[in-house]
Amino acid sequence: MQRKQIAIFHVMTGVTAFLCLKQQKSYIKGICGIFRFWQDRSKIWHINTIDRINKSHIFAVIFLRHLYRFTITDLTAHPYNKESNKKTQKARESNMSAITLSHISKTYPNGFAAVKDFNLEIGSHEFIVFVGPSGCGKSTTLRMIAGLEEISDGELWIGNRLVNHMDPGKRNLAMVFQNYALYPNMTVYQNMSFALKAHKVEKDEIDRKVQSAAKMLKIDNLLDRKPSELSGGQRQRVAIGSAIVREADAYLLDEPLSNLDAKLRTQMRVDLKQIYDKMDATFIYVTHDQVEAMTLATRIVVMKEGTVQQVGTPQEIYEHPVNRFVAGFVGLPQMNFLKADLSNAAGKISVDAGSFSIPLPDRLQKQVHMQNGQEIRTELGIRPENLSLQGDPRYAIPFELEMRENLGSHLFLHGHCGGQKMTVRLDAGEPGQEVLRRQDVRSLTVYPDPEKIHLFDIETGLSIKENGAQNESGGREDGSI
Amino acid sequence: MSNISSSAAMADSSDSAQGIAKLSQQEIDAMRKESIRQNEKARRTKKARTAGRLVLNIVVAFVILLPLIYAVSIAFMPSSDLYTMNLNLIPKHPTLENFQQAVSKIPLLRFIFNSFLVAGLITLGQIISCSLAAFSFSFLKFKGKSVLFMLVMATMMVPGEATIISNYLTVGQWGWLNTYKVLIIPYLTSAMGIFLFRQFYQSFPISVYEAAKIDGCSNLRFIFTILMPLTKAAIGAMAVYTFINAWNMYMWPLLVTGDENMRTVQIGLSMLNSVDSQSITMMIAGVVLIILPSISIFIIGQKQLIRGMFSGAVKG
Amino acid sequence: MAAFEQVKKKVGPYCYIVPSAIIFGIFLFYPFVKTIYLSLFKTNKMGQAKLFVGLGNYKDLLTSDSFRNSLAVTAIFVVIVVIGGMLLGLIGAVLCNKSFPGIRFFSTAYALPMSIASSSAALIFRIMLDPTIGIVNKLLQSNINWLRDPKYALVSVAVLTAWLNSGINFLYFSAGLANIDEEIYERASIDGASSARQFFQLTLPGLRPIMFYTVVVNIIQAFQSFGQVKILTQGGPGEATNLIVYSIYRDAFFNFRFGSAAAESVVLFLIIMVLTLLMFKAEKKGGKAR
Repeated sequence: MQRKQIAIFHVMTGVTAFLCLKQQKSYIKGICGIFRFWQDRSKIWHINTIDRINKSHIFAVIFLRHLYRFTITDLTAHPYNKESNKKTQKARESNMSAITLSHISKTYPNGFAAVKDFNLEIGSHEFIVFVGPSGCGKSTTLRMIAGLEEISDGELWIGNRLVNHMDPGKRNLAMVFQNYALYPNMTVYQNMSFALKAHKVEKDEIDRKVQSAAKMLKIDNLLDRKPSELSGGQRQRVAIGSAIVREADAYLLDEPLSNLDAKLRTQMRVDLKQIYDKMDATFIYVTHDQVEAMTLATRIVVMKEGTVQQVGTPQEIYEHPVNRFVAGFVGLPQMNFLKADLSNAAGKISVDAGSFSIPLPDRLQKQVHMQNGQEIRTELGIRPENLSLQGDPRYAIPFELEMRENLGSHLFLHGHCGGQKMTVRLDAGEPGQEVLRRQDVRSLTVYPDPEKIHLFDIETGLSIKENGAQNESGGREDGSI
Repeated sequence: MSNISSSAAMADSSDSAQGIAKLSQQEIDAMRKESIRQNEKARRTKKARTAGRLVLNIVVAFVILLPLIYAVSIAFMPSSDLYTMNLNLIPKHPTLENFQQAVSKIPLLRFIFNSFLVAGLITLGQIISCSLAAFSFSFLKFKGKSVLFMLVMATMMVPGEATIISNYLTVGQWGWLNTYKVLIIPYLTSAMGIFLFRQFYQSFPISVYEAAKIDGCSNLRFIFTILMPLTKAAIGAMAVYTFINAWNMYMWPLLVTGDENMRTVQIGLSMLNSVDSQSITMMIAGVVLIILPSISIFIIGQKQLIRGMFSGAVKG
Repeated sequence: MAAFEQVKKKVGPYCYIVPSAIIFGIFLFYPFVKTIYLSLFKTNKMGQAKLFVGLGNYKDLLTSDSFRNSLAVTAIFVVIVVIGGMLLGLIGAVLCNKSFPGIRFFSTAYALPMSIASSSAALIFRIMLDPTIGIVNKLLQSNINWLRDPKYALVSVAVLTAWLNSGINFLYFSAGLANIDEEIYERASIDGASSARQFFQLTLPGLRPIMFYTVVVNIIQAFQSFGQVKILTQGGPGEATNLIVYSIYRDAFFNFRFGSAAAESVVLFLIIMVLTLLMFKAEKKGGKAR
């Protein structure tokens, strides 16, 4: 080795080290290109003659080698630092699911099964909402996706990577917690830039990203404050902002609005929807509030006691609930449930409750196979808005009015039918309301829309479907009984 | 692998307006296989990390417990085994003769009795006096309450040295030297104890006290029949803490007792502090014997102690 | 009778404080005042104040080499004890922060030193540090006479004291760690922060409040260390371990110069007081800045 070359090596080592600290990618690439060239030319990497080389030179060479590997591979592989690389990856994955959960389950050491056999394919740009009552396993599933809980069984794929045991930090996800989880000793700016700094993003880029996210969430005037100086709503925005500065594969939100008061909640819902539209990224959202689910989701996953009850768009969930639980969970006010029996009298199947008997709606006829004289116990479900004061006389249902609530745009009639509670919703201007002019009117007749009548098997809770839609929890494939 | 890099290069160059080249099934499978391998690696790393944590704990715990382990090992070692060049952590010929000697050569049992008596009475005394005072500060209203309380807290600031000389002179004048009372009475109360009890009493529902008063219950009866049973945690914590501290007292007993009969364990044992090997093992055996009570009480009562010390006292 | 009831109501509350008050009065406030009083006199062997010298004792102290040496030695000692003891406690607390099999055993082990008397520990350390048979020299393969070598004596006593304090420090730090919201660690792991980064940017700042309190307690404890000095080095070799407390003891009970010892006590008290006040001030300022 020539002395001059060694000297130049040391100088370039120093310069490269300095540039690495300052994260000047382009310069480093250039210098490493020169190294490569040199390597090919003079085979300096291969240390053959030891006697003329002293220790420091060997160290310099080895250090250089590692530096080369570290800078080139790390910088280019990292999703944050190579814009085009990330875009490419995203584009590659746009034709396949962003996240796939396959037979995911979680069982605690004491035997409690929090999540059972969860299957879901989440495409990119979806807003998936896990919704259900407390303890149904929705948060646990989200945390398993994030990596905060061990997956007992099943496979979790993000893109084309199996990530069951991957560190949460390596899954390229961002999360918003219910209690905000803001770092108490850091300012808002530091909170939002924390993840980016951990991934060694350039300072200027961090600043750009934080400023733009802060502007989007209208917290750009709070960047110097500490979390203790912020209100609940502001803290939540900082938490959301800290998540969206990152360009993650998916954004996980665990009941982010539950700690806010009603007015703030409504406001933030709208803001969240706008953010989602602007970002076109995958959002996975957990809530127990079905209103949030209905308004925000592109698809809803309804869960109960660890199992998925139904997956579908808000419309599907609302209009075609697959079982009684889903039907009762979504919709405000709740769907009316009346216990009734299906009875077959001379080939005609009718739905009988004590106080009424209506024919089985045509679209459900094919799904019910009954012997003559057989009776099947069911529950009839009809949403309050699908009842009106006028309609087909065959479907007349008696209604004892007990109380009315006038909200201006619509009118709620509360009462009961044959001892079972019932609510009717009438829009202002809906025909048939003359009979209500008298304040003391008691007995009315209401007519359900036959197209919107649901029937649920008493034992299984499954809905008798009008077409062979997928049944999540057993029963016949075609939804018949 | 080359397939991926080539199509990656392709995708890299064409990522502007045109539309991104879709990955072929082969590439997808390769990616998936690679990620499965990485996932396994991650799983093993996780396991290794938990194991690593355990190992680290074992090492650190060993370092911290080393003096005790060493003491126990020497206590069981015959004095002839002491002088070897090897690391002798585990005694090769364990024996009980050191303990026998310790108990016979010095009145160790008498010392232990003394310490138990003194520590026990101090504990009892502190529990009673501190809970009474704390009761007054928490439940009763009277003039100058806050000033008096501040005064009590201020005593925690006064270091022992500032008072020990004068106390010695005082008890000397009274002729209290070499008695039990000189060891017990000065320590019959403590500001820390009052503070601890007061903390507990603050979270005690005052309505219970008011109801008792309305029922005609006198204060003393209330304290002993209602308050104390319900604040057992505080009493437990206080007992553990006070007993251990009293058992470990050194400077004061050193000054005020000279009579062998009256010495407590800490002082009595340091009498054995000599050089020849026979007494070294005997001394260490004695040390082990007198550490046993305080360690046992600590281990048994540590949950109580910790809960008591930190009940609401430490805020983030 | 009504008057008696009135009196009882007014005086009653004070009665409960009386037992404690008496003890405090006789054995705390009175001696404290008496010490200050004594420090202004030269005394006889019986401890009676004989000759009023005003601040003479103090002047002698502050000009005596021995006392200045005590100050320096104590300062070094306190620094080593506080830093060492807190480090040991912190390590234990961090290791026991996340649950793992056997954590109960290890938490007990780390807290154990707080139940051990300074004198007992000193006796054990005496053997451990013995140049010929002690385990320390065997492990380090060295021949150092730890307690007789002026270079190492102070450090040895300090390490012992740090070990004694590590138990209580472990408890304080464990409580401090438990006060840190678990969720921010979850968030940090999703954000991709390494364990080191989490420690320095989340754990340490989160421990700030408890750390202040712990430092104060440790300092006060360190200044009052007596048993270990008496048993291990008796202030020597030379005056290498002549901590202020030990110097007070020697002055009073070997030289019978109670007046001068009293003056030293007062100086010690003032030092501790000033240090504590400074720490409170620093904490307040830190709080405001935050």
